[in-house]
Amino acid sequence: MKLMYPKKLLMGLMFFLPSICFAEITWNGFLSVGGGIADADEGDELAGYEDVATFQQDSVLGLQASTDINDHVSVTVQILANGANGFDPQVTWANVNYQFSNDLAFKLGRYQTPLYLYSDFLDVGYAYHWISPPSEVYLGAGSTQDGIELIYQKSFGDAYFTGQFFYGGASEIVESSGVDLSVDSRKRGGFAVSMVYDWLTVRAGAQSTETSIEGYSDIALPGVGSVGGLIATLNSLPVGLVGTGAQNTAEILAFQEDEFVYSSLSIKAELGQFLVVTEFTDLAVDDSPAAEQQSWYVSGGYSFGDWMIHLTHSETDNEAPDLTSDIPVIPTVTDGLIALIDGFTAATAIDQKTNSIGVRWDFTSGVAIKAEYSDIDADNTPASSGNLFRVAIDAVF
Amino acid sequence: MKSTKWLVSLAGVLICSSNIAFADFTWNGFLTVGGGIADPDEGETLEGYEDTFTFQEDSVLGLQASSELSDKVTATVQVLAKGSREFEPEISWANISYNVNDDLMVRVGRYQMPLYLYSDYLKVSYAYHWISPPSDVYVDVASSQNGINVVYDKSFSFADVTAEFYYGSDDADLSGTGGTDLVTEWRKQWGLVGTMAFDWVTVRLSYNPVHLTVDGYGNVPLPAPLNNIDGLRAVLNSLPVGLVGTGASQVADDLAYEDDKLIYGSAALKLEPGNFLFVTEFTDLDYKSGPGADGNTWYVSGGYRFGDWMVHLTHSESDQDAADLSSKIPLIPTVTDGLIAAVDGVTGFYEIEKETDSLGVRWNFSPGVAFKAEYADTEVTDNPSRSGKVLRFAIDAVF
Amino acid sequence: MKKLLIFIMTLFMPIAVVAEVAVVVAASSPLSSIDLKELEKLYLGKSKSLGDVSVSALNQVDSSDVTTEFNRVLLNKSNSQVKAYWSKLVFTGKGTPPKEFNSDSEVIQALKNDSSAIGYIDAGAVSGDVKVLTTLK
Repeated sequence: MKLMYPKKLLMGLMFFLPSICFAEITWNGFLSVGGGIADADEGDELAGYEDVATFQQDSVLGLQASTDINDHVSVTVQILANGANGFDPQVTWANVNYQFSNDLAFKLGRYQTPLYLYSDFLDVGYAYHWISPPSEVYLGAGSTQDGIELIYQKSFGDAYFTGQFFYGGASEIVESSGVDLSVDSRKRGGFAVSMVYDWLTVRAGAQSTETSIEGYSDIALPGVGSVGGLIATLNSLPVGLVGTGAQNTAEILAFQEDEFVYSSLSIKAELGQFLVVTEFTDLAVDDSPAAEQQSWYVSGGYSFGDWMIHLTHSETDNEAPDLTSDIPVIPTVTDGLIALIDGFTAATAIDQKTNSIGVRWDFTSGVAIKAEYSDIDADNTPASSGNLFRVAIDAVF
Repeated sequence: MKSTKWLVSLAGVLICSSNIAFADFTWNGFLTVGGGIADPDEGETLEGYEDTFTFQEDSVLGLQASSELSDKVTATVQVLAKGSREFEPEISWANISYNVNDDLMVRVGRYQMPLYLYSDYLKVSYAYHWISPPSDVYVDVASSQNGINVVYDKSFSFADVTAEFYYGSDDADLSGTGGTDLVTEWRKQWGLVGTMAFDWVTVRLSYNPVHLTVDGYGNVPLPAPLNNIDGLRAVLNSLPVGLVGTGASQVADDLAYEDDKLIYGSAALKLEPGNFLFVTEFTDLDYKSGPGADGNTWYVSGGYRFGDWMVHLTHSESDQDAADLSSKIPLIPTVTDGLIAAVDGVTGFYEIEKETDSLGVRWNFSPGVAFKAEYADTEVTDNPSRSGKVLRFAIDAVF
Repeated sequence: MKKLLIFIMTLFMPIAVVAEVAVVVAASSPLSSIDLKELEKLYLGKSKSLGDVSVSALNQVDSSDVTTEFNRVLLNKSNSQVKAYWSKLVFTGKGTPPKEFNSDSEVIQALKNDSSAIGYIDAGAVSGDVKVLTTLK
């Protein structure tokens, strides 16, 4: 993933930093080293792992520098290098924080989008019990954005309330189906509220974006060459014969400014040595080739001394969009196209379930060693199903 | 170039703030500013230099932060920005080490592989006498990997002994011929390295097997009608077995560049009696399958030190033999002769015979800063565009 | 003009006054004698103890004459060579050089605070707080 939104803003921040030599800079870092072996039901790759031990997928390095310019203003820069991405360093945070009062702060620049419960510290493995949060919920959720954020934090008696309100945009390159796609999220705004009361945390959040994908039309399709070819074919069908349905479908397949709405609800209970955490997420889309998703997980753990064992079940249920119901079935004219489109949308909507068991050992202060075994079952997709064994060392410093 | 800017800025942050207390970090760095000019026998570029003065090829900045998490556990991160790669920052080290005792260290994460004598500090030019170790031996390839590394280091009365073991994997981008983007996937890569130092004599041996897949190799272009290597493989697979036997399909498999085992080996000897330095190293690269070329490389270098000055002479050679794949295909005029030539063309791409003589000087003008100049004469057999002379200068600093 | 001449001459003159280097520990240290071979290993990071006693080595900054003399006599290396030696270890994560102090008095202060440390100072700077194990010249 490569973030490429307003470079000038980032550059400005980066150049701004050296000029504040007199200020004290606090450095922090985190490093996770993960390794694993996969046993896929078909093929030799699963969830980024292979049938021989590899050490890239869950390895990540973060370095963060922050400095207080005065009592109200601080600047933070975080650089992240992902093993899965060849340890190519990316600037994931670069923001100026203005603290209005004890309760209210305002952030400008690049920051982590607080999409889900673990989003704020998604890459800091040391901060949670898994090697990585359940992929059914968190796949693709690890994104930062450029914009503004308002953070309100206040204690009400024994309860501690946090509210985050954000607005901005992001652009990232993702590789999918062998094509580099540029995913642009504009007008990305939303909120997250959480309440911590003794052993109980409840959190809810939502955000909406206008998502466009450049390069989507380059995805290869049999018969018509690519998605772009499919669009051209649909547009070439005579309106007199098939009505306007085909053109509507062609427009949807362009993947331009599609509205995505994400919602989430999570509950975490930390009762003595027990931990239970569950989270539900929902992605609703309109007039888009993307699938609607409902995902959730529930995870329970038990700690004894420096050890913790945990069990997790996670699921994602996808509903493929219906892009063909408005196209009349005309044998030898549209039936092949309808089947092609239905097959294409179905391929992006694969239900998946994972059960995993894991252990975390707090080896020394700031260092944890973890092992996790997962059984992944993707509906009718043996190449994405199988077993995965992973180990990781997480450090913060 | 954008990354240059932010790296420079980052360096600015570090340098300007070097007087203030970091939480628990120890910062170190190294910097080489190199420049040079080339006089190729043909063309305009040679060994990364041009016929006008340029400063990219040997310039490098490294920044390292380490933090002691406990008595025995340390996290180390090194960011490297090489001029030869447009100063695009890369993470060369990022690991967590555990000191089992004074002699034994285990680390997991990312580290530079100690393939050859100078490999694990290849870019720390201040640590050796050349501007860079002989390129005939030290080809600038991705040399970091992710995995586990065990280092045993003990000082006995008769010698200092170091034994190292590593096991891991890595994926690295490689731009191939014809602009094809290739990804090298290194798997089951491990190595054993032994070093013994008796007073002024150091002996080192290493053995490093790996399984290599080159993703995208099939797209490397070939002249029509084959179009690319996958096209050649398809034709080889389509030849009737009755006519050409199974050899052609074996060659098609070999050209896949998939899971090919290769072994790196090296032997080095370094002598440092008094003011003299003598160092020599032999390396061997052995492909067990696939289109890669087997090779032998070596160098011998001698230097003499007087005060803060050192002069040195080096001779190095590289001899890469093309893999012989085509002999598995029977020669049938008008049927297989063209294909055999095409296969030979693919494997022949890696064949090279190269030697270099160089004369250099190093001046330590302050502890932590050295100035170097080097003149090298390179000759690649039958390839005047890769032969010629290069004059280079460099300032190395460690801080 | 005369000042400039003297300045230029001093640039080319070998250091006239060669410091005598005292290897010292805190007065309360259990160490009372030293093997120079072991001391060399300690300062090159090849060991972390002298005999059976676990010891941390203290260094002085490069710009100090006493450092130059210590490196020359004990390690048989110039300051630059010592720096090159450590850069191989530091940038491969295999070692950390001894901690550097700015002056003889800072070393003495550090030794007073840590009876398991060892350092070196100009022989002329020896005080009652420290014990001299040997003198290098």
